[in-house]
Amino acid sequence: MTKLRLKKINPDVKFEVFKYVLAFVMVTIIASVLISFQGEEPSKALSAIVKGALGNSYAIGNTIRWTIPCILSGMAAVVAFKSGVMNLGIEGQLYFGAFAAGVVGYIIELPPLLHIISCIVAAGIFGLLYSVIPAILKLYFQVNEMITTLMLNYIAILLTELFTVWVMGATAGVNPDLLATPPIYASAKLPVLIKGTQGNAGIFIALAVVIIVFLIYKYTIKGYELKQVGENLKFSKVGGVNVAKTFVSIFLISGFIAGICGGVEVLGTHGKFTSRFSSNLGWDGIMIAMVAKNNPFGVLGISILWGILKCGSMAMERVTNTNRLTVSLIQALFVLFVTVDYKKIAGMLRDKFGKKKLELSGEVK
Amino acid sequence: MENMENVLEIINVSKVFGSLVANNKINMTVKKGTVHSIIGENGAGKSTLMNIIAGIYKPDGGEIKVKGKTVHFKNPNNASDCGIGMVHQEFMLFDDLTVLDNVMMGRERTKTGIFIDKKKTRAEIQEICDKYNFNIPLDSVVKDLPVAILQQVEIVKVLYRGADIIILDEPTAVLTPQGIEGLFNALRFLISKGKTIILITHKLGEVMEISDYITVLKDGQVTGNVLPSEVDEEKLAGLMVGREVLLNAQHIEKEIGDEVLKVTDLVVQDKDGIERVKGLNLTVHAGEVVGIAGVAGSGQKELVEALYGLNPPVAGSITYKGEDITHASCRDHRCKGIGYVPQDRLGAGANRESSIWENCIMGYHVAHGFKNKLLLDRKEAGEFTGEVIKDFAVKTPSQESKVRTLSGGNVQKMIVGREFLQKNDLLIIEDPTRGIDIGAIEFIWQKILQLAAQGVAVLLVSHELNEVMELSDRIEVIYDGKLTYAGAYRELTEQQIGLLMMGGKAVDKTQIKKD
Amino acid sequence: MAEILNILFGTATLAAMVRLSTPLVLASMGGAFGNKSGVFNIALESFMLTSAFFAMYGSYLTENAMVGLLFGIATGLIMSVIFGILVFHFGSNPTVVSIALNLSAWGFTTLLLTSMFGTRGSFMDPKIVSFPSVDIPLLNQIPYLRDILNNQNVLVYVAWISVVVCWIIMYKTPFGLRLRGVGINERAAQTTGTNVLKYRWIALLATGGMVGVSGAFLPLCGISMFTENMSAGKGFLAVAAIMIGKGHPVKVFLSCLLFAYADAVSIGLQAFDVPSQVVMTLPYAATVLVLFVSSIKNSKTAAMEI
Repeated sequence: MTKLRLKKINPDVKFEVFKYVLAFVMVTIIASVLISFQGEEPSKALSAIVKGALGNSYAIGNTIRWTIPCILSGMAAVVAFKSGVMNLGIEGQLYFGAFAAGVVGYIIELPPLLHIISCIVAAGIFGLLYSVIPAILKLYFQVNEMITTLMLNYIAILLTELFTVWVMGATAGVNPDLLATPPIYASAKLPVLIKGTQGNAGIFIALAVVIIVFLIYKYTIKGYELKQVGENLKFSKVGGVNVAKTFVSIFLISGFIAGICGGVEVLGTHGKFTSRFSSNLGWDGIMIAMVAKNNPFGVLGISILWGILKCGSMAMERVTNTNRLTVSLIQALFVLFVTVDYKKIAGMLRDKFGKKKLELSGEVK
Repeated sequence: MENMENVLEIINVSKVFGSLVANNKINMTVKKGTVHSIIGENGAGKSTLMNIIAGIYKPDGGEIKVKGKTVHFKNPNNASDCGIGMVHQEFMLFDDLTVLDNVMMGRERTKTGIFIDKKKTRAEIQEICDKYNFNIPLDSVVKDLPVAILQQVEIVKVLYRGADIIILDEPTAVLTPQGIEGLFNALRFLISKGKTIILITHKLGEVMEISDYITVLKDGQVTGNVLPSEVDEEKLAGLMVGREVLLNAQHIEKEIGDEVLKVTDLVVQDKDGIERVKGLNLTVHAGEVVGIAGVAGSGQKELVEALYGLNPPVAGSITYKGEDITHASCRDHRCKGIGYVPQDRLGAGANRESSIWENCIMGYHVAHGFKNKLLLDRKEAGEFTGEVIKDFAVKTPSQESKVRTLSGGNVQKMIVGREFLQKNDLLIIEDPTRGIDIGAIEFIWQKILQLAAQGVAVLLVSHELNEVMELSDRIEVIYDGKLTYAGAYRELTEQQIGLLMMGGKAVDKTQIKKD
Repeated sequence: MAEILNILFGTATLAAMVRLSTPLVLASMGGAFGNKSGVFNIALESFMLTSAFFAMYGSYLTENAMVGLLFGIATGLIMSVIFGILVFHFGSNPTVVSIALNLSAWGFTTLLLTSMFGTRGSFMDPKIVSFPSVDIPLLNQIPYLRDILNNQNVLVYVAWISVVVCWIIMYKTPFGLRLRGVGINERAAQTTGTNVLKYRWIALLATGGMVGVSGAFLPLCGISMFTENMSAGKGFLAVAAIMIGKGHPVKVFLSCLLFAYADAVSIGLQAFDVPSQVVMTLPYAATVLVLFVSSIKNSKTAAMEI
């Protein structure tokens, strides 16, 4: 029996691995083309990425710094997508979380650990609150959550900026690029792991989230229900799952994690809330969840890759003539390649080939 | 009949889907102006063959001749150009469009080659309706029309496309006995006008009644090309399944207990706000199977949704063992011991993407729970799943297999097993045997009767009149959102019940008692 | 008070509404075809942004707005071909493809902007030629209306005409009937001999082409410049308008006008002491609000389905 099962699973695993390898190879080829298009040796640029991300402890520290938000926003997306909620508003929820953490961080001084915890919790709650709107609209009025969350992203960026202006009062600058809350107290800062880098203890928060989410799905009744609701809503409802409650809780959990992501960014890296700081971190999370096929540990792996690419691309930009946006573009292409249904393409090719054979046999008759 | 023209010849036609041989060297000849029935069990390859003839599938081998000429259909348009039209089992209609739009779709008459000429198209369609005695409202939106009319729309659609050979796939499944009679009259009329009919069905009585020729399929092969005069129903059934079976449930005598479910003056609206259940009363007792028969769309869907808390009623009350559950949720129903086998097997009954054990504990995890309220007890889940697999003969390599790898009959056995083994006191069962093979039907029927014999109250809602008649201790007919009493087991004939399904007058109850 | 009225109903605001609605109308008329064919496509944003860049480039190269427009349309078509191949033939999920395309479009155009013109943020050059505005003989005689409708950019009128053309195609031609059929019931459409894939492709290409025009409008509507992430959610607004209007050209058009009105009012409000951030949220907030209002009647079904 076990032999049989092994035989059955193996081709699937092989196929998945093959798919990621194929996607990676194709993306590397395209990257090389894009890099040479910019008048640079591809091998030089690519090695610059690797060196810049993993070459020394300083590089590794900064890779960790970029891996943290990737994991957290990726998990926010996974929680939502796994249960069929298309929360595209992670970016907005993240802004609200970051703002809350920034404010709690500078407004009161608390004992170090307590201060960090209060900041993180505040961040989570703000992210959660901001996801209430699309959740309610979807639940009671069937408004497609993709569009509402997209719109709320734009609103969140503007509103947090407005709040920052309020917080800063008259001292607020006119230039929106320089708008920021006062620096947070040292007690709220996440400890740096590798000196001289931005790699911080936020990584432990991120790992904890991954493990908790994994455990919930694997071992709890709630996790079982969350998965079933995502895969077949009607079935779960008939089966006695309180779908409305589950649905809202998914949205809220996703928003909570997104908020934490924003909070960790402020506490670990920026030390204050800066308006428009994120540069699509929320969208990175969405891509990562898609590439990782909503698997928590997959998110961890892909986030490390993303962290390497992000950190490495900055190094690449410094040492070569290549623009680091090349890498952002490549990441999006990676998503496209991984989510293609290769079996369908293979089937299509086979069909075409098969058809030709059939037509021939028809003539023979 | 011998010297009639062969309008359609099928020679050695085969079709393979993956590893399944759906059609294996099929041969048959259809003569002009006849009704040619094709019979066989579900999965025998009838629909595949018809889809090949209608140009929807391409055959993997063999030859098709229409009026003596070999044809190669690339798409349904080619077939329809050759005068072949098909009325599908599931109607191929566009819900939000009018009848007129539906009929002309794909064959619009145009002004200056660009714009639709509605006037001209309408006149042509009206002419066809008049010629063949169809009375259909051309400007109504399809979703507002009853099934019998939709079937006529489908036939008119085919005629508008100039079909001489009309294929009807299981046309009687959705009709009442009277509706079937009407359809058959229409078919006879069409034949008198020179059309040819190919009728696919698995109902033997109908076959004997209307066919001129019969082709029997089994496992993708032809097992007989016969004339109705040469055979009887038993013999046909033998050809269909390879053994002599006629479906009869073993009715068990038992005690009827206390009232379990009581529905009073129930009013339910559908999602468009239209009243579908209009003041309905119903009781079900312990140990009793109450069958609800009716034409599709008479309100049974909304009734069941209301009974199971999927769509709260706008008026009336539902009590279960004396407790009001009118506005209880599905979860409450589960916890109180009410089970539900939904009609929509893969939509509401199972999750194709999950494993068998995950499917089996759905509902169980709410109603019975596990030792720990938070954690999933995989051992207990495995035990219950094992029980379902064993008691209900679900064929699967392991509990971890995904449900999408199971056949329809096995999925249904799994769902029924899950609901039946949870020690529920009331079961609401909707179309439990739709589209599954005869072996599985017999099995599920037996299980339902055994369950009732153990004192469980069963409410059976089915579109198969035969099923309701075989299983129910008491039959109710639903028509236009209201119930009419239709006698106890074997009290009324199929014809009498059929009349009630059409909204005929209620049978005089005193009369029944006298009989 | 008069000032507020002027902001709400003044000709300046209404003229701005007409101008601002143009990219939304053009994009959503194209998107309406995709919607009717039953394909959920939120990649309009990426189509629009890339088209805007190449339309600017085309105009820059030739100093001719018409060539810019052709570049824009071609880009829209290429983007839609990418979308179509991935979704129709490679079995990718349309939402995933849309998100990836939207993100690549931002990276791609910014990358091109920096590597071709060596600048970030925005690019302005006298060689970029915009479409002219048009003085319409009869319209310039009518008071009030002439202030709103006359002397607008050529593409503004193209957009309004496209609504009528769209409606005629969708509801008066066999093509439109079949297209709607494909969206309502794919299998039924197949049995009537309609090639579902072909119709979806045509609808998608129509989407690409129209969004291409809409993208071209952005840099060539008179400002003659390209800025990073120039579409700024307009593609999403178009999708929202399509959803609210359920793909019906006239209803979609009205939704676009409403969004554009919110945008126009927000411009007017900037003269007041209202924080710019609040003002700028108006079009997005209006979208959420309209989605909400147009779905109130769904509340019963929603409760049923979830």
